[in-house]
This record gives sequence, structure tokens and C-alpha cells, in this order.
Amino acid sequence: MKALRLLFACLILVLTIQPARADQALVVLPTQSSLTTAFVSELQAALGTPVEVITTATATLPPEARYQYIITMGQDALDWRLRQRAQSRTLATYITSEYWHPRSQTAPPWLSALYADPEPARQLQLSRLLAPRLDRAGILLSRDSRWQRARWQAAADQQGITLTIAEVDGPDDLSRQLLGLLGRSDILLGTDDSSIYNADNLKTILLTSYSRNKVLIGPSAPFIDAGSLSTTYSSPQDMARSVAYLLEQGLPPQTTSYPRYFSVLSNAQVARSLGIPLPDDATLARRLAELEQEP
Amino acid sequence: MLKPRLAATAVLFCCSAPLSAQSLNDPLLDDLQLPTVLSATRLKQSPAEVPGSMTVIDRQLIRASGARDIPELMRLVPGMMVGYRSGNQMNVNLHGTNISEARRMQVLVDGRSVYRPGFATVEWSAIPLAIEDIEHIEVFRGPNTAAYGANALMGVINIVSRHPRDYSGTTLKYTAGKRGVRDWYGSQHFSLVDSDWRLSLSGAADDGFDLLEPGVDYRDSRRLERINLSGAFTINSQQTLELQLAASQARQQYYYDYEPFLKPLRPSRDTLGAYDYAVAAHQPDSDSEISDYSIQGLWKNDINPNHSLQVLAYAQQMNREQAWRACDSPVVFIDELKQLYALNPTAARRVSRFLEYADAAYDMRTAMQISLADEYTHQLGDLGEAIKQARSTYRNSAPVCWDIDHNLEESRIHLEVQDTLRLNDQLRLMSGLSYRYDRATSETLFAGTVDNYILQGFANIEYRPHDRWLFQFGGMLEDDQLIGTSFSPRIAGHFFINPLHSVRAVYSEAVRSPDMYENNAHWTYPIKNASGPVPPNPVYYATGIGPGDLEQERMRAVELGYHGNFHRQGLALDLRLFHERIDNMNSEPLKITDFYPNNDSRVEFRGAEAEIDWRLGYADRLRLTYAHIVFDASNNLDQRLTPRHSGSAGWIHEWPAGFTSSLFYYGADELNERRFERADLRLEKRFELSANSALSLALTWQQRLDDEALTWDENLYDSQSQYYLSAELSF
Repeated sequence: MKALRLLFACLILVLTIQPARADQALVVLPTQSSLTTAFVSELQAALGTPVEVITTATATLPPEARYQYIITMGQDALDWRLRQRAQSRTLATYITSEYWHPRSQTAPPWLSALYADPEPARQLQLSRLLAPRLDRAGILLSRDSRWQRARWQAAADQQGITLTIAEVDGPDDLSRQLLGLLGRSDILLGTDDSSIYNADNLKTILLTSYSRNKVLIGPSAPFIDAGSLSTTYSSPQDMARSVAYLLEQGLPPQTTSYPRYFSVLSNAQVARSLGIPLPDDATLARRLAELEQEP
Repeated sequence: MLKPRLAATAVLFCCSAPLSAQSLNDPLLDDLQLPTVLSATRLKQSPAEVPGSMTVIDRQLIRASGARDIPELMRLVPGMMVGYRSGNQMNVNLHGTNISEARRMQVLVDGRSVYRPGFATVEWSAIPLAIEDIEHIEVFRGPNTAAYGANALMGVINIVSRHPRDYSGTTLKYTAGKRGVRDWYGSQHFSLVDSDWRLSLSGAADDGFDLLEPGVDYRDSRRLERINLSGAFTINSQQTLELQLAASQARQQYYYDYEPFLKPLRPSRDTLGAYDYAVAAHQPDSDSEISDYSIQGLWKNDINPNHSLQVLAYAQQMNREQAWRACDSPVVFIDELKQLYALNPTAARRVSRFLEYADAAYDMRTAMQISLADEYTHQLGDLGEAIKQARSTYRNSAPVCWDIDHNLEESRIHLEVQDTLRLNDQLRLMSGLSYRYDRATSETLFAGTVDNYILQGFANIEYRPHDRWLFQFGGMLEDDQLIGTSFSPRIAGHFFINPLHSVRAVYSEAVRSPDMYENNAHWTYPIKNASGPVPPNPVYYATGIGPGDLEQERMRAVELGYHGNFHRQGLALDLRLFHERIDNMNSEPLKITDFYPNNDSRVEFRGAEAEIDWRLGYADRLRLTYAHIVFDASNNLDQRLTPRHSGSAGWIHEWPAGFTSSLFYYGADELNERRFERADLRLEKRFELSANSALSLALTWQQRLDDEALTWDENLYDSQSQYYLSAELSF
């Protein structure tokens, strides 16, 4: 009886939202989680219209004409979307450059991507805000992330920071490269490379740099609790607003970009222990946004 | 129509597949299971929060200084006095007291106390850790018994070695220079399953100071070798285990270390007998060999980010072998001398001195009467006269010679449990218990073995009621089997002008427990393998006996300080005013013929210290320290060491093409009553041989800017300048 009532309630709900408009967006989720719920909700708020939501468990796309844009969340949803024949303009969100870069060459023309990892230039700018005397910023790369070098180098050049780089050749090489790098860098910048920044290596990276009074910036929000000093990241709201912004711009095809909107997350305890003055996160984010507006 | 949010939720709820563990499949977005590495319990206090004054000598400074020994690095610490005794005995004191007895500071190597249980000193040469393996040295200037227990009376030197986790590859280094400097070092890093290791072998040698007369070397050279194996295991994401095995062997030269009761008669006074010639000629060396072994383990368990537990355990053993042959007159065995020494040791010393000068006509009774004044009795006079007669009897006999030694074994076992708990943003609690067993064995000095148990309970509460205020309350309750129970509290308050600038006020009480030698000595010379005119069952006349009821020395200290970090300028500044007072002090020189330790002395230190560390950019670092100290000491032995003005200045610069230069100046106006000024220059050139190998060549030049001896008259060099060259290959 209870099941029947629930089914009935669902039916009513589904019917209520069925009459979708042709300019509606479809969001493809891998599954439900608090993050996807928050993102969808923020997206609807940012767009000012409801969106339709399906999961990758759905066999095929609904008739595509109904959607102006399809937004995928994460790698699974993107992979699922790539298996569909539909030509609808699609924005892949919540993917990292590490994942997407090697695949971007074979991307279909209807696809654009919005990275979830922090933008290098923004991370450098944040580093400079926290360490005004920053001269040399160090990054660790692996063979797979070597391509990021140009991106970091361009950002560093633009800001007049010397970029120091060490390439890690497997887990056994980490400590050696890290020590060398810390010796010639003022801070360590986390890169989007899960072969370096993972739970196994984290202790080595954080303890080694901490013992030399060097801080880690980034690579992403989950690392802050572990002991990284600060990072920019995009909250579900930032991501939703960034998506809405791209959609308003007509979603330029075949482009990859970083989120326009972002927040800052810092570890006040680490800052205090190392004697680094730390403005609050909102102030940092605002300051960074202002700097990005400056010509 | 439903609100969008609800609609979306409804769709998810009704139409999605059954919930599974599937996620966004992305390590950066997923709920990463990242351990909190820099947890609240693991983060160290920032310099602005330390309940006292702390100087940190980091790797850059250690390298740039060119120092070959840890004590030489201590010249970079404001208020630290470094001197040498017998040439090769390094003594480090903070602020002052007796330079020869540097026994009021705790010294730790990775948490292991190298402050010796039997003789409250530190055998710096025997510390089995090469300077190349030191990560940094933290020096807490001021009493810290509240955290480290008795003997952290005037300060704590905490030497932290490089973590084996740090890859160091293979390093080979050799240093050679004037004054017989020959140092070598080799280390190898290796990884095993879940563990990292570093094995270091090293050695050092030099021939110490020179004598005034050219061509005659002062017998104070030393030569030592060390081995250190250090490993770190990762048990799981929460637990680690660090192990260290270390050993060292040091050989140090000493002159003949026995003063005969009957010294050879001064030639100008009287006709010399056969005894005088024989005793004057008998000057064998008393070189010593010290071996030091230690094993230690440190288990750390981060129970959660706000709670950690660690257990430190170590055992160490130090053996000193110093044996030679002593000669004296048979007079040292006669009953009259024993009686005189028992009645009045000063009288015995006076008689010994008169006999050095006295000719046959000299009246012993009169001489003793004049010099002993009120203490003189006819009985003493009669004994003195009898001894003088006995001397005449043996005038032309051979001396009695026997085997003598200052052999000593000292060992320590220590277990310490420490718990750190962060209750909330305002409150952090560190507490712990420790148990220590100390033992010293020496036939000569203790007539066997003395041992001791020490139980400690300690706690420190950090309370931060407000962003601008920090209060720290610490205390140490200590039960020492030989000395008794004591409690040492400390209270510190910080006011933060802003997060990087704080003003502090600290009050602390501290104690030093007398060492086994002071309190429990039973020092006499058993007569072994005797030759010459030996009486039957010879017993040496003098015995130095520790009173057994010495009290702890007590320190009360107040300091007012300011710590500022000018982050934009890269400048850190620490200023401090202090007032320290030690009561119940034992300042007596302890000789076998004059062994009367007591608690009658006191000393007071007042002054100001400053430390500036300025990193002008990554290529430049300037560092200045200064101490102004005024003292008031009741015992004249404590009135020599403290200079009124002392300090250091340093400039490190990284030049292009792999060149680094460092220039240091050290100065003290009256270091043990002698001026001390020295300028050190070090030049290093680094050649990158390949991506992972490099060769460094360095020259260290030290120039004394005055011509005084270093702390004692005999500590002189032939030349004001010293240099050594080193080559270091790492791959």
C-alpha cells in the first residue's frame, strides 16, 4: 500500500515537470549525491529555469530536440554521453584537465568542457597574495602531466614569477625531486596529477615541505584539510554560475575552459603555525576576482 | 508547478537507478580519503606563540657557518657561551655560571637526552650524529623544566636529525685543513618495504690548540668515528615508527691527570732528592677513549586529527676508558696524613703546598698557624710536623707508583608516553608520563655503581580565549629516587597585536637535580699493581664523598618578550628582557682533596636579548643576534664566564653560477674574562654534474680579530687564522 502511494506521488511529480520547453537544459548525472543535488539546484537558480535530470542508468537520451544543451557531470556521465549518437551541444563539467586533456583531440565538435581543477594562473595569483615576496614557485610534474608545463609557464611568465619544475619518475623518485625542488622554490604549487597528489604520497609531500617551512598551494579543495595551505576551487554554486555564464554566451563549441566563478579554501591552522598572515577566504576570493577583472 | 529544487530532487529520487557506490569517478572530486597530515596535534607552535624564547638554527645556517661541531653553532644563539677546557672539552652555557661545569642545560638528540647521568655534562664530541645529518637545532633560551624535567634549568638544546624519509641519495664528503682538521662523511639512503633508511658513517680529527712555545703541540687533539642508522616505517596512514641506532668512538688526548700530594720540591729552595727527580719525570699521558651507543624508537599514532599519542623509548650506554699510572710519595699512605685530611682537608692541602716550597729549616707549625688562622689547632700542627718528618724519611726513596683510572660507564633507559589532544579551537592539551633509569659505574669515582629512578608526569595547556590572547600553563611533577619530589610550573601569556606580532610574559620555575657525582661520589684511588716502597695494605689518604643530601638548584625566571614577523619584508624579530635567579646552587669545584658540594651559592642574571633574521630575497639572508647580560654571583667561580656584550652577525648570499658566500662575525667582550672576536668566511661553489648529481667545493676561513686565548690561557693558536677545505659529492 505504502509502495503504491509512493509510486503515485512520483507519477504526479514526473507529470508535473514533463512539459519541458525546447530551450531547457538536460543534466546527466552519474548518480545521485549531495554534490550533484547541490549542483542541479544551483544550476536551476542560476539559469532561472528548471532543468531536466537523468542519470547514466538511463539507456538512451530522450528525444534530443527537447534540449538546447546537455550538461554532463563528471567522467562517467561524459563517457555515457559520448556513447550517444545525438548531436546536441554538450558541456562536460566536473572533469579534470588530467582526465580530459589526452582525450580532447578526439572530441566531437558538439562538445565543450569546463574543468573542475583550479586554474593555474589563479593558483599563482593566490600564492602571490599569500606570499607577497614570492619569487620562485615550484611544481612537480610526471610524464603524464608534462603537457601542463606550458600552461603553468605561461601563467608564471605573465605574473613575473619564476617557475621551477621537477619531473617525478615514479613513486620512488618523489622524495628526491621534491627535496631538490623545495630547495629552489619559495612555495610548492599542487598540479592536477593524481599520480603525484594522492593519499599515498601526501604525507611525504606535506611533511617534507612543512619541515622546510614551505607551503603547498592546491592542488584541490580536499587537500586543504590534509594540510595544504590554500586553494581556489569551484563550489557547486560557482560551477553552476560558470555553466550558466557559458550557456548565456551561447556555449562556444569545442572549447575547454576553467570556471569563471570560484571560491577560496584555506587552512588557518597551517598558516598560523608557519607564521603566514591569512586573510579570510571570502576576502581572498574577492581580491582574486578583482585582479582578474583588471586589464 | 514545483519549485525547481524540489523537482530535481524528485526526479532523482524517483527515476535514478538504485543508489550505488558509484561516484564521480575522479580522485579530485570524489570524497578523497585523505589523511589529515598536518593535524592540529602535529603542527608546531609558530614562533609568536612559543612560551619563551626560541632560536632555530636551520640547515642553511648550519651549512653556511661551516661549523664542524654543534657547540660552534651555538655561537649563533644569543646569550650562549661556548668555551673549551683542557683544549678538547667543549662547554656550552647559557648566560653564565661556571664554564668548566656546563651542567645546567638539557641537550636532546631527537628527544634522547645526551645530558649524562653520572657527570652532569654533555660529551659533545661523542654525540653519534654528524653535523651533515642535522635538520635543525632548536634552542629554548630560558628555563624549561616544565616541559623537559630537571636539568632543563637554563635552557634546552634540541637537535633534530634529518628524517630518513628525505631522500639523500649517496653523499661523500671530505674536509681537510690547518690544525690537523681531517673530517669525513659518507651516507646512503635506501628504501625497503614501507620504510626509508639512511646509513651514515663519519669521522673527525683535529689537533686542537697550539702551545705558546712554537713547535710544541698542546696535547688536546681528538679523533672520532661515528655510525648512525636511521629508519622510518609507515605502519599505516595513522601510525609511524622511527628507529635510530647510533654509536661513536672518540679518542681525546689529555695530560697526566694526577696531582701528587708531595710535589717535587721547587729547585731553588733546597737540595733535590731522588724522589723529586723521579716524580718530576713521571708524566705519562692520560688520554681517554669514549664509546657511546644508543638505540631509540619513536612510535607515533595519529588517532584522529585532534588527538595523537606517541611513545618514545631509548637505551644508551657511554663508556669512558682513561687509565694511566700515577706516582706519589709513600707519605700518602701514612696515618698522620689520613688523620689530618679527616680533620681538615684544607690543612692537608696547605701542608702539601708548604712541602713544595719548604726547606728543612721551615717551621711547619708556624706556617699552618698563619694560613689556617682560627681553624688552627695544635693537633693539626703536630700532624703537619709529622708529615714533614715523614717526607724527609722518603726523600731519597723511589716514589710509589700504581695503576689509576677514571673509567666510567654510564647508562640510561627512558620510556615516555605523550598525548596531545585538541579539545576545540580554544583548548589544546599536551600531557605525558615518563620513566627513566640512570646508572653510573666507576670503581674510582663511585666505588661501584650508583643508580637512580626518575618518574615524571607533565602537562601543558594552551588556552586561547580570544584571537588576541593565548595562555599556556605547564607543569612537571618529578620524583627522583635520589633527590626527592619536585614540581616545576610555568605560566605564559601572549597578547597578539596581530596574528604575527605578539607580546609575551612568562614566569617559570625550574630545578636542577645534583648529579650522581656531586651527591653520591665516593672518589678515591684504589692502589693496584703498586711498585716502589709500598706499605702493606695501602689505603689512599683522601676520599671525596658526596653528601647524599644535596638539594636541587632552584631557578625562578621572568621574561617579557616581543616576537614580530614582518611577512612582507621577510623579517623576523625577537626581543626579550629577562631576570633569572638561581638559588641553592652548588658552585664548589669538586676535587678529590676538596670535595665539599653544597647548596650555598646563588646567581642572578638580568639582561636583554635580540635576534633578527631577515631574508631580503631568496638570494640574501641577514642575521643578527645580541645579548646584554648583567650578573650577580655569590661564588667567584661563577663570576668569570659572562660577557656583558655578546652577539653575532651573519650574511649569506647566493651568487650566480652556483656560488654561495657566507660571512659571520662572533663577538664577546669578556668571554671567561677574555675578549673574543672572530670573523668567518665561507665560499662554496656547486657544480651540477648531471640532473641528479652535484659536486660542492667549499673553503671556510676563520680569522680571530684579537690575540686572546679562547676562554682559558692555554687555548691559544700559533696563528690567528684557520682554514679548511671541503669537497662534497652527492648522487
